Amino acid sequence: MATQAPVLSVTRPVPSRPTRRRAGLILLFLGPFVLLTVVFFVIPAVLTGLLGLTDLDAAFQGQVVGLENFRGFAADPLLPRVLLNTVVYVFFTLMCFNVGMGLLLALMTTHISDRAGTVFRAIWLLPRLTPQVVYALLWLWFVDPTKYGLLNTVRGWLGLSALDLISWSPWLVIVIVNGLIGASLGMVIFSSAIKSVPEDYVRAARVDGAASLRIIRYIILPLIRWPVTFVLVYQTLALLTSYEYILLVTGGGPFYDSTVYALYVFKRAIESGDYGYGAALAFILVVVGAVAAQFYWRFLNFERMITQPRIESD
Amino acid sequence: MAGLARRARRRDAAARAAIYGALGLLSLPIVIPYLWLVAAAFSQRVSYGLLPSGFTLNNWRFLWVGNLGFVTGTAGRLPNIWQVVWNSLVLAAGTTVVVVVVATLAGYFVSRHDFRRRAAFLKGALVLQAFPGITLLVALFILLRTLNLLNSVAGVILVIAALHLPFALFVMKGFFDGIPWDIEMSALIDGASRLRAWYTVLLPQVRNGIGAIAMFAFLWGWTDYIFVLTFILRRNSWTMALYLNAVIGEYRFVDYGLMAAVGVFYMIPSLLFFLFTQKYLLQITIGGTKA
Amino acid sequence: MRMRMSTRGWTLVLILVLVAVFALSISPAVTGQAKREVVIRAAVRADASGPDRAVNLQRAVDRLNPKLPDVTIRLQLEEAPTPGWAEETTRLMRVFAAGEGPDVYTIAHEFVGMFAKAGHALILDEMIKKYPETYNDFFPSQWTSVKHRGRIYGIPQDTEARMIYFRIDRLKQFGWSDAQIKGLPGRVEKGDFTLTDMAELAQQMKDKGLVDWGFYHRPTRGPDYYQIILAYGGKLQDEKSGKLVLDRSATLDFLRFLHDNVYKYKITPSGMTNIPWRSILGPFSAEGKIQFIMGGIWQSGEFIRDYGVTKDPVEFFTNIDWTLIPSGRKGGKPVTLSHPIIYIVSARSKEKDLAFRIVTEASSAELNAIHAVNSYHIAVRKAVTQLAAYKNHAWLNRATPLLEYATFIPNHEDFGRYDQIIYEAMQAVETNRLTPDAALQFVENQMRSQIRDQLMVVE
Repeated sequence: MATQAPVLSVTRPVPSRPTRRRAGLILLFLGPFVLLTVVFFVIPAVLTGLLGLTDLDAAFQGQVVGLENFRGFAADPLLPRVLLNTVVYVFFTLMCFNVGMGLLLALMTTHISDRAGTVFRAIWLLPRLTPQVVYALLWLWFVDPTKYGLLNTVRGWLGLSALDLISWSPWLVIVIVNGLIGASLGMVIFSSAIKSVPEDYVRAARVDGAASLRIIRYIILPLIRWPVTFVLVYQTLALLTSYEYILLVTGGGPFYDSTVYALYVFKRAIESGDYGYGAALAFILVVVGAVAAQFYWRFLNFERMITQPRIESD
Repeated sequence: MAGLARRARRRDAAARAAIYGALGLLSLPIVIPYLWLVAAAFSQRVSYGLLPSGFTLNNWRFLWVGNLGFVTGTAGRLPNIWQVVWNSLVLAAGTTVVVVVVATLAGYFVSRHDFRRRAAFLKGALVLQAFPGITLLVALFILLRTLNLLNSVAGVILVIAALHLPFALFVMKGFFDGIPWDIEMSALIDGASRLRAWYTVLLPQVRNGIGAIAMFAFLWGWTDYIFVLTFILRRNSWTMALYLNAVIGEYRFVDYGLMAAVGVFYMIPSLLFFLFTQKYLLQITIGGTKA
Repeated sequence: MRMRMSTRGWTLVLILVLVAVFALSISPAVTGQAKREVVIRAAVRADASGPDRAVNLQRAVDRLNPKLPDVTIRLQLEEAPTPGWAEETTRLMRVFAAGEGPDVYTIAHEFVGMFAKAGHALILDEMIKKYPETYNDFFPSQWTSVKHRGRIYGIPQDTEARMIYFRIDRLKQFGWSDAQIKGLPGRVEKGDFTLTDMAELAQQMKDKGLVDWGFYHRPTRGPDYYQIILAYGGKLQDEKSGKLVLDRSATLDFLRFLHDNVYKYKITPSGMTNIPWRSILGPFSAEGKIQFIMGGIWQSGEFIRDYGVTKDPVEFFTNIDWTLIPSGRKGGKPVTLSHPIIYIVSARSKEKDLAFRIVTEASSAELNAIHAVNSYHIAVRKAVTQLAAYKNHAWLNRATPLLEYATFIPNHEDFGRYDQIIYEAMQAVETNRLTPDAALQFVENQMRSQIRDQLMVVE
C-alpha cells in the first residue's frame, strides 16, 4: 500500500486532457472492439427492429406494415404457454445446473486432488466441447421412445415399459439437455474463484475445528459471491436467447410444450419464413434482455465490476 | 489436539470418498453416451442404435474414399473431407485470433483506464449479452450481403467473434484487474511508453486469460452450426458441422457407424485444443474476485 | 528509397505478367478450343431417397455437349444437405437473395407457387412445345403438380405412390387365410375395408401379442397425412379460386382417427413423432413387429438397402405387401398421394435455353429410368415404363396401378404454413396436449391469422 501513494502522485496531478495521443490510445485499444460490435451486433439489432415493421417474407419481399406485427404478437394465443415454458426453462436450468450443479461440481472438484479434479471437470466440459449436432445426436439416441433407445433399454432391464421421455416431461428434457452444457461454465468460474480463496483462511478455520460445510458456508461462499452473481446474470440472458439444442432434440414439442420464446422466434421467422414477424418477436427479446440487464445492474450491485481503474481518469 | 487432528483427517478421508462417489455417479450419464459414440465408430453393427459389435475401420472410410455414394444413405458426393477440415480450421483459428486480439486490447483499456462514458460502455457491453445473437440471423444475412461477405468464412468469423466479444472482454478485464498495478507503473516510470508497457509487461501476466478465451473462441468457431448453415451457401466453403449434417441426412440414422465416426472425428480437434488450454481455464476470474 | 520502390514496382509488374500468361494459357482461346464455355449452376437437395436427381443433370450435360455446335457446358453442381424440402426452399430463397441463384434447381412441387411469386421460376409453357417428343410423352396428370395459377413452372422428375404397408406373416399367424390376405387390397379399393376396420384389426393383433404396435406413420412433417383427410372426404384447395381450404369435418375426423389410434385402440405410441426413422422402418421390415405403416414406394428400397430385407421380389412379397390408404367410410374411395420433385429453370438465369435443354435431356427416358429404378420412384413418362430395367422392377410394377387414385397437395404459396399448422395439431392430439375438438379450433385460429384471405373454411 505504501508504495502506491507516490506513484499515484505521479499521474494524478497531470490533468488529463483529451489529447491526440490519448485519442490515439482509445482508438487503438477500444477501436476494434467498438467497430466489430457496432457493425455486427448493434447495427443488426437496429435493423431487426426496422424489419419488425415490415412483412418481409421468405422470398425477401415485403412492405412496411407499421406496428401490425406487434399487434399480432399481443393477440397470439400461443404466447402464454411459450412464456411459461421460458420462465420454467430459464429458472430451473439456471438454478439446478448453471449455478447449482456448477457450484456443487466446483466445491467437489476442488476438495479432491488436483489431478482427479481436473479429470472430472474435463468430463463435465465434454458436452460444451461437443459440436452441437453431435451432442443432439447422442440425446436423440438416449430419448428414443421405442424400446431401442438407451433409456428404454435400461428400463427394459428393470422390467419397466418403454417411456417417451419427451412427452412425459418436456420441461425436464430441455432443462437437462441445456443444463449439462451450462453447468460447466459455472463450474470453471467457481472453481477458479474457490482456488483463489487464500489457503490461510481455510486452514485457520480448519484448525479451529470448523466442519467442511461450515467452511463452505461462512468462508468460501461469501468470497465467491461476485462470480455467482456474474454467472447468474450472464447465464440468464444467455439462456433467454438460446434454443439450438431444444430445436435439435425436441423440436419444441410435443405441441408447444417445450417451445421457449427464442425458439418460437426461430420457428416463426425461419421455419414459417415470416422474417418480418420474426424480427418483431426478436426485437421484443432484445428489449427484454436490455431491461433485465438494467435490473441486475441496479439491484445486484454491478458497480463492483466497474470499480474505478487506478491509472488515470478524464 | 493430536486426536482431534486424526479424527479430522479420518473425517476428511471419508468425505473425500463420498465426493468421489458422488462425482462418479453424477458423471456417469455423460460418460456412457460418449463411450457408446466411440464404440459405435469402430463397430460393424449397431443393432437399432444400441449395442455395437464387431471391430472395423470401415466407418472411417470418409477419410480416404472421395465419393461415399449413396450406400451411406446420404446423397451423391460429399466434398473432400480435408477441404472441409481446412475450412473449419480457418474458421476456428480466425475466430480465435480476432477474439483474442480485440478482447485483450479492450480488456486492458477498460481495466486500467478511465474515460468518459466508461460506465456506459461497460453497461452497454453487458446489455449486448442479452441480444439474441441468433435471432439477428436475418438482419445479419442482409448486412453480410451488403458487405459482400456472404459465402466467405471471413464473414462468419467476424459475426461469431462480434457476438462473443462482450463475454471475452469481461474475462480479460478480470485478468487485467488481477495484476498488481505497480508492475505497470514501474515500467512506465522507467520510461516505457504505455503501448510498450502493455506489450512487454502486462501481456505476459495475462497469458492464462488469453489461453482461456482462446479455448472458448476456438470452440465457438469450430462447433458453430446455425451461422455456417445460414451464411455459407457454397459447397466448397462447407465446414464440419455441415458435413456431419449431410451424413446424418434427414435424421434417418441409417448408418450409425459412419455417423459416429464422423462425430468422433469432428470432436478430436476440440478435445486436443482443450487439452492444451485447459490449465488456463481455471484461472478465469470475472470482474475481480481478487480485487 | 525511391530506387527500392521502383524495384518493388517492377517485381509487381513481373508477377502480374506471369499471372496473365498463366491465365491465358489455361483459357480456351489459347488452347485452341473453338467452343464457348458456358457455366450452368445447378442446386439439388442432397436427398437419400433420390441421389440421381443430381447425377442425372451431369449425365445430361455429358450427353448434350457433343451435340452442341458452338458451346461447351460446364455444370457446377451444388448439393445441399438440408433436412427436408421445406428447409431447402428457405435455403434456396436465401441463395437467390444473395444474388447467387442457380440456373436450375429442384424443389418439392407444392413450393412452386412461392418461387413463381418471387420471380425465381421461369414459365415453361412455350419452351415445352419445342420438345414435343419428350413432353408429350409425360403422363397428363403429372402436369397438375407443376402448375401455378394455370402456368407450368417445372418439370416433374419422379412421382411415387404412398400406401399402407402391412405384414402378411402376422396376418397368417392371426388366422387369416391366404385368400383373405390376397383379397385385402381389393376390399380397400371397393371401400369395404375402412380406416376404422384397419385400426380394429391392428388392435386385435396387438392384443394377441403378434406385434408390438399396430399402426405407425412418419415421424416428421410430410404429405402423408393429407391422405387421411382426403380419405374422410376432405378438400384441401378450392378449384375455382385456388384458395386453400380448411375442411372442418374431415380435419376433425382425421384428428379423431389419430387420437383414437393412440388412446382407444392403442395401436400407435403417443410419442410417434419422436421416434427416429430407423426405429420405424427396421422393426417393421426386418422384424415384423409393426402391423401397418403408412409409407411410400421408395421405402421398399430402403428396407432392402438399409435393413437387410431380401432383394428377391417373391420372398419380399411373401412377408410384406401394401394397399391404398383405405377410405374413412364404408363404400368410400381409397386414396394415394403423389408428391413429385421437380426441376425448375430460374427466371433469372442468363442461359435459360441451355438450362432448359439440360432439364429436357435429364428427363429423357434413359436417364429418368436410372433415377426411377435406383430410387424406387414411379416413372413420369410412358417411355420409361417401356424400358426393360423399369418393366422388370417388381416393386415399381406393383405400385404403378395405385396411381389411378393419385392426388396431390395444393400448389399454393401458403401451403407451407398450412402444413406446419396441421402437423402441430396432429402432434398435439397424439400426445394428448389437445383434444381433437380443441385441436381443430387451434388449426382454424392459426390458419385464419396466418393465411388470412387465402383461406376458405368449409364444414
